[in-house]
Amino acid sequence: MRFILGGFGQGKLTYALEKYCAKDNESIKENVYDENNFRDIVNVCTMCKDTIIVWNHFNLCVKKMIESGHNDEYIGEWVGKIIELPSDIIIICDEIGNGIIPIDENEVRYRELTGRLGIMIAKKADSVERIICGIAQKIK
Amino acid sequence: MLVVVVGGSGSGKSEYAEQIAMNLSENDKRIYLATMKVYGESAKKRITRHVKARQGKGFDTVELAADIYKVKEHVDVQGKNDTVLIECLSNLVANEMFLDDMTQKSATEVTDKILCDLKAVSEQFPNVVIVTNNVSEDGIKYDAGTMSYIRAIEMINSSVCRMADQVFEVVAGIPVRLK
Repeated sequence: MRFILGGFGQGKLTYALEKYCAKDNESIKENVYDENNFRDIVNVCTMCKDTIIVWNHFNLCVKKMIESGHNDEYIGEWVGKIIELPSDIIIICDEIGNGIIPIDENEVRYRELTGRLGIMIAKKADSVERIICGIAQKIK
Repeated sequence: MLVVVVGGSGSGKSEYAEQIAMNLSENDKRIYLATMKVYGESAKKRITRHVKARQGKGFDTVELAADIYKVKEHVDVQGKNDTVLIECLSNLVANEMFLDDMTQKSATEVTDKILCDLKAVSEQFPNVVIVTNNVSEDGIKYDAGTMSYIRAIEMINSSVCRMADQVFEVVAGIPVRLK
């Protein structure tokens, strides 16, 4: 499992596809999941063990789960289950914690939880890379 | 030894700073200087999580929302490895800057005051570990008061990091050494 993080619009998905997915393989795009279909990831990971799965917009998926009314513990366990699966998955997340703490409690929760889950993913990941201007800085 | 640990929300910067403070202090005193005022539920929750994370690590807590030089009134520094962990600068700046709903001190005034206080603390303790935030990368243009607050934090961050022996940025729990 790989973890890629960085600011919005830094070229994280492009980097992941170019570096880890064969360029001539257009079908990889079908294996990119985001906030619209991320709930399928558990099934896909279980069924297609040999395919690289890209989980894009991880932070927006966290936001969606918060909005669905799930508590932090549930979300943590759900993400924890996925990263334990023996599949080839690349998780991509925006860095959203570098700013003024918002007034809205839910926004605070979104930032905190995304950060905490990022720590959990980074711990388990085989590699952690931060993307700045399309350039990767390997930090693990 | 002066060490600065910077990071965003939920980056794991506190846990890493605690680890540094524990290593530096060896068997001498470990002081946790908490600067946060408790407002609202999420602050309470955050404090509870921090207190829990610190349990069993041997820190004595001193709460000072402002005037951190006064830490000496609470601690008798004797050991050659006595260490104070200051958590965190962004709260301290808010407390020093926003006196009440109507009054806000200027960024330069607050910066000078806090740097002066930090100097006093670092003259007293053999080791100082400072936790600070990255608050300047959300690209939002806030009101003048908030922009001045960001300006003050970043001025203090720059000055403190210039004096520091080591600076780390914590990203997803991983320390990245900057200095």
